[in-house]
Amino acid sequence: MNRYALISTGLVVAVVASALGYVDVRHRVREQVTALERLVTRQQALTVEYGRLQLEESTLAAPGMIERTARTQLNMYLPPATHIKVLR
Amino acid sequence: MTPACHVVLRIKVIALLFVVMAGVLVWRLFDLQVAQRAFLQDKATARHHRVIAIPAMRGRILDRRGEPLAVSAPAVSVWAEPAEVMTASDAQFMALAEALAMTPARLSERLVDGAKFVYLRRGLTPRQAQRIEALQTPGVHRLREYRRYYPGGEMAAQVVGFTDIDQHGQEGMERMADAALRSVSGRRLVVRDLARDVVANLGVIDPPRRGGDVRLTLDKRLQYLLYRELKAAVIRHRARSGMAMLIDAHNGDVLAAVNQPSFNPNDRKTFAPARVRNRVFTDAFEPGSTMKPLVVLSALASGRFRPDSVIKTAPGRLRIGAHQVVDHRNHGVLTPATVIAKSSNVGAAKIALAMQPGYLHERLTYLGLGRRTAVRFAGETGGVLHPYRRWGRLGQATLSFGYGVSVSVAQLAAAYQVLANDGVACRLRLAHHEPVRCELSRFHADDTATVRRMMEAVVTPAGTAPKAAISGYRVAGKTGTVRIAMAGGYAQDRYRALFVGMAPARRPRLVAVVVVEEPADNGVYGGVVAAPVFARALAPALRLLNVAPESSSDLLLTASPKPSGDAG
Repeated sequence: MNRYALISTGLVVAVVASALGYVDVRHRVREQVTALERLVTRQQALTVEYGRLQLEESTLAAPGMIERTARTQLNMYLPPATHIKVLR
Repeated sequence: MTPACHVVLRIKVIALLFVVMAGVLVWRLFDLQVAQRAFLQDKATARHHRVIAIPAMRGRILDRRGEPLAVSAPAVSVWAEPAEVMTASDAQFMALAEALAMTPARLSERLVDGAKFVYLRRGLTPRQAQRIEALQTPGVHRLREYRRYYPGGEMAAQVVGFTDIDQHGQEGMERMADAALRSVSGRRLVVRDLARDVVANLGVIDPPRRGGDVRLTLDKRLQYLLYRELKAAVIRHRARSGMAMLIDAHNGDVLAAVNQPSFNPNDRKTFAPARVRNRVFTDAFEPGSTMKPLVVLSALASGRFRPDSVIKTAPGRLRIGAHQVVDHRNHGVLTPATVIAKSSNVGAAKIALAMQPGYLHERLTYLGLGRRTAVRFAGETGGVLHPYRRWGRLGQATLSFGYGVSVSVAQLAAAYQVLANDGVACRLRLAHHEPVRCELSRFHADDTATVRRMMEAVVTPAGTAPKAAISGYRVAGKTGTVRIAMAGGYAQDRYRALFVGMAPARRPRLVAVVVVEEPADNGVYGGVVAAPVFARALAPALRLLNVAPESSSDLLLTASPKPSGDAG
């Protein structure tokens, strides 16, 4: 085989290899983008969830709610003045 | 024909076929890539490119400690194309109506002929929307939106305000801070594959704008305490309305501002103009006797009076032209201190009349009367303080006990803040991002301390407001019971009960104003109706703020006030 044939065979192989490589990279990019988008969607869902939990927390932590629970379930009360000692 | 010839011919035919086929392919390639290029690319774009929304939420409104007072949460709106929905089977239609909690008749009423877009239900939770979507009714679609929630409920409703269904601020802080809170959702272009997964990001068309959070100076806990007690008092005395404000004496921060009657900001059905108005800023009223400490403070500043100056009030009447100023009994000889403690109108009038009108006017203006506070709440009033040239002697006299002058709760709180903070005047502040602005006023710390001492006498068994006492702390305050002005004079049987106070009296941390309009049952006096609200709200408030009790012996002076019923 002469030199030119060798070079062109080499180039053909290189072109085919790079084409296949390109296909592979494209595929992987698609996969990554899809994964990223799924994470973004998930992040949005979690933001939603966080907002809901925040609301739930503030409902449960409403002063009226805490006061009711403290008085009725935990039997707590304000100590009368005679039971308070001020330390200085 | 020779066989060889035959073979050659066949090869030629086949070769020709190949050439033709290749030609067809090349031609097709040319057709697709060049001739129809634009058309096909449009097709592909239409099929795979999608513009999708980048959601952005309206900012939150928080209290000073970061507790949410207004939060946006995603909600789903369901909309329909009427023409499409009409193709649904009867069973589907009934199921849809049921899922929407509508009668089939109402639903078909909604689906106006010819319309391309009709909202069926807005502000659904994602779960409710899923139920509707599961029915797979033709022409019914979902739209992602947001809904505003108010965890503070009715207790802070007038301050926080509310938005309309499209999340635009309508009232209160929602309206005043709308520019900061507002969000704009963005759009971006993506490529989707057949499984509807995004496979390529082509860029942002409109960037989203996330709404910023707005922090208020309110403390949700103190807001609750004050609201609970005010509501209890309004119910107990069958009053028409009530308002109260609590501020930090050191920096003018509005810690609580409450109104009765209130409304539930999470339920649009409860909205009524009279309930939505933030009375503490928008309503001006005659402050009655709560003016007296301000007049006495001005008198001490003028140098014409000293704490032990003698003021003769006998016989309990003072004639000014054709009119008469009266005390409910003859107090005889008083000092500025006893004028406040016994709330003598004659004494206050004599003190006011001893000052130059211009001087008194200047002092009262300095305390913030006649102009809006720095908060500049939507619809805020500046009250009325007439120019002194129009007062006349009678006007100057009645002004001293709070008639012929009007103020808002916020103005009254701001004026007493100067008294509480040793003469250092701080502008009221409701938005936390605004700077604290305090300045040395023209009132001397000795004078303010003296007036506070005088006001301590009000909150003793001998004064007008023993019920304002808080165990463990000294309280300085002043009551007011005002006849309500009507067309053509003052009502005989309609009153306004007021209490303005501060605690601890010697080094005040909190200043509070309580106003109850037209109490009908169980008393009408400021000391009976308004003072207990002050004591019951401030006792736990001082504890929450870690204000040390002044002395342990004080603890035993009065019983610990019991909180009133639950405000819900």
